[in-house]
Amino acid sequence: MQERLVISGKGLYTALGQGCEVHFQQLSRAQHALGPLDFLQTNHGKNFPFGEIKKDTLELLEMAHHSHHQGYTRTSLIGILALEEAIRKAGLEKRENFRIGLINATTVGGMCEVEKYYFDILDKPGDYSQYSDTIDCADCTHRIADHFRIKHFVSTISTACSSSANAIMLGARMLQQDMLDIAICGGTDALTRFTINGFNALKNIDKTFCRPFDADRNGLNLGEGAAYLVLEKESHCLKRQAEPLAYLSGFNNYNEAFHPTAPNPEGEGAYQVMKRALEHARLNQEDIGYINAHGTATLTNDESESNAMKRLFPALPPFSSTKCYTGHTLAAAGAVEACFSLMALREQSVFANLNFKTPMPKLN
Amino acid sequence: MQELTDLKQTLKTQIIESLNLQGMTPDDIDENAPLFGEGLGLDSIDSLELMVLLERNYGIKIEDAREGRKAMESVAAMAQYIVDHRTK
Amino acid sequence: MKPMFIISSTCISPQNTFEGLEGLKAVNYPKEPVYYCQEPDFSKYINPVQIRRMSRALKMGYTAAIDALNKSGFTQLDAIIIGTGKGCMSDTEIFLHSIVEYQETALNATHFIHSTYNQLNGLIALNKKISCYNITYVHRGFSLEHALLDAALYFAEHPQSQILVGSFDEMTPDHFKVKKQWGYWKEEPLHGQSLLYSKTPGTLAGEGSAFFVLSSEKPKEPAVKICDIQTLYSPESDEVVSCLNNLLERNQLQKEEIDLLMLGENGDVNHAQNYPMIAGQFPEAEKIYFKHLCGEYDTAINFGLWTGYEILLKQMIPESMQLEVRSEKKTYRHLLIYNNYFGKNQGFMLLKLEN
Repeated sequence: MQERLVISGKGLYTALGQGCEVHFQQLSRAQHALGPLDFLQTNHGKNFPFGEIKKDTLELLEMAHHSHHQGYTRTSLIGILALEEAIRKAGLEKRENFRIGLINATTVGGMCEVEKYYFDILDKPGDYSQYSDTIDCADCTHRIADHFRIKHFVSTISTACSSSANAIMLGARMLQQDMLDIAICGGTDALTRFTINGFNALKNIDKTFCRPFDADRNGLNLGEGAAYLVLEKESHCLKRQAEPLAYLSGFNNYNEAFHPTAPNPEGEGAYQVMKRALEHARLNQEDIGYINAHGTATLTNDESESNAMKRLFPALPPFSSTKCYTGHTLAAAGAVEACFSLMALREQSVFANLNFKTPMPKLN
Repeated sequence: MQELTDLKQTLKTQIIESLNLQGMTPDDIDENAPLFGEGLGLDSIDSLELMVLLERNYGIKIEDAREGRKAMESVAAMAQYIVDHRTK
Repeated sequence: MKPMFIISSTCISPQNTFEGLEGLKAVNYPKEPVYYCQEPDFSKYINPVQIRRMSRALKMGYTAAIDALNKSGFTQLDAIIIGTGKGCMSDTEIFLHSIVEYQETALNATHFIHSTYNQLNGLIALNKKISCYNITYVHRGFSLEHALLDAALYFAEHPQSQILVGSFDEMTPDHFKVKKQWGYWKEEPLHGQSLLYSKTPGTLAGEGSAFFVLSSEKPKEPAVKICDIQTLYSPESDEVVSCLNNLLERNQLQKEEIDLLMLGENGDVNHAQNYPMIAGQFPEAEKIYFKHLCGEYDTAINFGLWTGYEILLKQMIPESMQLEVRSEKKTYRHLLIYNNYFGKNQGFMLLKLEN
């Protein structure tokens, strides 16, 4: 029997604000953070609502105690600020000789800065060249690792919207195989013109506030954010006199091999992962008190997920999507929503699914 | 009438170019055959590209993917849709 | 680490490796300081509807993966794990260009979709109808190493598994240009030994893809086992040595037992510092080099792993991979790879031939 894994710290930074406390406050009051863009330059800034962190990159630099001209991207900075909270909450400022791993996730890395200067960078060197090597996923991970002097194991996962959920899984598996003492797992993604135009080209963005699981839903809203969890074995956590916040008892990754961009409407993939995660955790359907759904509010995603939940749960527990508060934070979404779920467990409250009026006809 | 025939021919060329249908000529495309599934065998990603084609070349903006599918049932249907909706 | 056997593999590179190790007898050298791959006939592997939308990176990755899978004879897999440093860079670049050209209107989604790093993972699963664990590591010079480490973890959890692991990266004109400004590349395309001996800054840019089908059970015939993988993030030189010693110790090996030492030297004097030190630890071993044949890129180690595997299996070192050829011929059993990707990403990989 494997030893239990605990979550001993969490850190969050999204449009709802910096830190877990403000997130819980806003979620409990059903206050979302979506609206027009103030900082990112795009023609679509007023066309759609976004979950933008209301600080410009210079302010973020100051908050993270880094100076300009050194290539710190918005993605790296919100990552540093979220991870700082996770480390503080876990009581890990003084770390002794722990084998600490950072498993980060991102979908577009430093694209937020690169896209501003891409043609300048191509043309000739200048101040913007500080960003020329930030286009990939590893740059922000390196920056975050260096900021916190994490060296033992440093990696980056990029699997689109499941990226940080996969980062959490890898951390858990490495702990179980005794490859790490502490795994810090999560993800970071800043809003970019690149992703906004990509999702717009896919005709996936709602012009109004997104409506997860509503019959009239018409797409997602994009957001930005970063979130990290600190994982360790229970004995390790107790030995260093830290407080376990929750157990991480089950997880699963499964590719349903259905379509390049759309999920199977029957929800085969979501059904399989939920079923397997329950089996892994040795739990039954009736043990589940709340489901934090992916709930992007696109036509296909929510139909697929609803069918998966209905298939798996004879009596459906309360479920909601929290994308309507933060927007879809892409690579960070899994970790952001793991933090929300932790709050739901610790505070014994579930968060309202905003903008829901009409149930989907097939689903009662 | 001639205009519509010319449009269909132009459209076939544009479809071949924008979807990179290597080795195909306009004559290989039956104007009444379905573009998706059976017939030409295009998929949902192609339908997005065809919407881009309509916007860039004819100033037609289709917001709803489902309306897009209807407008793009065949080359003939697409040409008619262009005649009815074009802004350039 | 749970050891894993390589059941089959395929490599697409600037050399004729698609045909096997024999392809290294006649070496292709680039005319510019950048290597591009020798492309096999992709249309034999990819259907016409898909191929028209695929970038070179995706074609190379997909073809290497499917060819390796075909050779293994497996029709099902338990995991598909891929590493890439830059993904489909050309799609990312095209989408960046078109955002500006069309002023954020009427954009084709295809390049955006393909710019997603896990695109190849999804495509393999979709076309082969393989629903299973599926993940992408995107961490520069650790991308393939971490994909392999994940496979080893998976075997530890599920011993009876079959896993496809590989990596792909492409060099694009934009990306070459950006890195050129930073002095990543040499001014001239130095060939072979003259690159490795150059003692000047910069190297040759490269690209490639290699895939491996892995099993934790040894096949009946002689097979190559990946015994250990260790990555080192921004290490000091003494950390590299102590890591090496730990790796040998936990595999119960004396230094003399390493028959072949493969070094990721790329001729860049700015990032050469640890190679002589590592080579000095193994005076007995034959030294093999590979980056003068494939160029430098995030996952260049895939060329090293593939040639290392082939060399152990065939007991033959292509002449082009050695600076000095030893006369006495012995059995090559253990091969150690040391790679240093611009200082931040360093690591070891230990291979063993088992009869």
